[in-house]
Amino acid sequence: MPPKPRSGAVSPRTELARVALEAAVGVDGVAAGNAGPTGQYVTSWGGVRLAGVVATAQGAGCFSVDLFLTAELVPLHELGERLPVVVGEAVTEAGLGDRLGNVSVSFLDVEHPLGWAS
Amino acid sequence: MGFVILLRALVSLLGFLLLVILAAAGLALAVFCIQGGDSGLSLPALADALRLPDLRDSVDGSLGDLEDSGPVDLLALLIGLGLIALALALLLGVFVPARERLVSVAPGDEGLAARRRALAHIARALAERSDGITSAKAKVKPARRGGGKVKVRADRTRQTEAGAARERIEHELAPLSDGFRLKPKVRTRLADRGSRVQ
Repeated sequence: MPPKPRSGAVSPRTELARVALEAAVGVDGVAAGNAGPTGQYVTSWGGVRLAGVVATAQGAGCFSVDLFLTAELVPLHELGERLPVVVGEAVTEAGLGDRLGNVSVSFLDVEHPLGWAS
Repeated sequence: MGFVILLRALVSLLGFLLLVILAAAGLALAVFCIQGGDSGLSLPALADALRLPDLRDSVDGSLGDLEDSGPVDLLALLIGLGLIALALALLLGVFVPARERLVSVAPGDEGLAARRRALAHIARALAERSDGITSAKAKVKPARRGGGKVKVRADRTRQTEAGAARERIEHELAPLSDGFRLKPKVRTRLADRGSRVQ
């Protein structure tokens, strides 16, 4: 069940960002979206702050989607290769397939089940 | 990284304040150029209003004191050193990029990348899975053309040979180093007496 926007209209760009982030976070091995060290990787979706996704206009009505994620302790390369496919499928299912441009994945942090000793 | 972000914020704030001061000074100069003579909206009147002659005398006196022979003026020295440190910090804020360089898989490829810290955490976890290793530390250094280096420094037990420990760690690191084109550099040393195999 997608969240409800708090205020304002939701644009195709922000809707694309929401669908992409939800799909990415639902993949095994992804712990959460990550807003970055200074909180720069966020998208406002109808007043709701989506941490870890930035959608940028790419021309011809398309938007590139940059995902910034915290992963679990899993092979990152395989996960990184699987994510664009999953995001593409979710976006197509949401009827926004013709809007999706490039998808990039950046892993900003890794979650350890026992925490990381310093 | 947080320090650089703070410095960049300071540079932005100081830059904004300097622009405001410059704009106000320019406006004042323009207004006080309207009239000639020594009074009204004239430049000498502006200098009087700002008490520039008093300031000149005061600065003149201070500089004269500094030039005099005698003990070093510790306060002036500290202020000078502080200003040099501040200037260097501001230069750092201008030139050091706030955005951390990520490790990308291919040259110029923004499709898949990871932060150094995330990769180092995984490298450490993989290294510590190797037989005979008591603890490990890992650092990742990105290369300009994609990939980079992963340096692991691990402690091994007395029963474990250095070469064998290094090979095992490199084997454990392979999924990470191959995936992100990281060249492994592994060093091991004998663990302290108190260390135990984890």
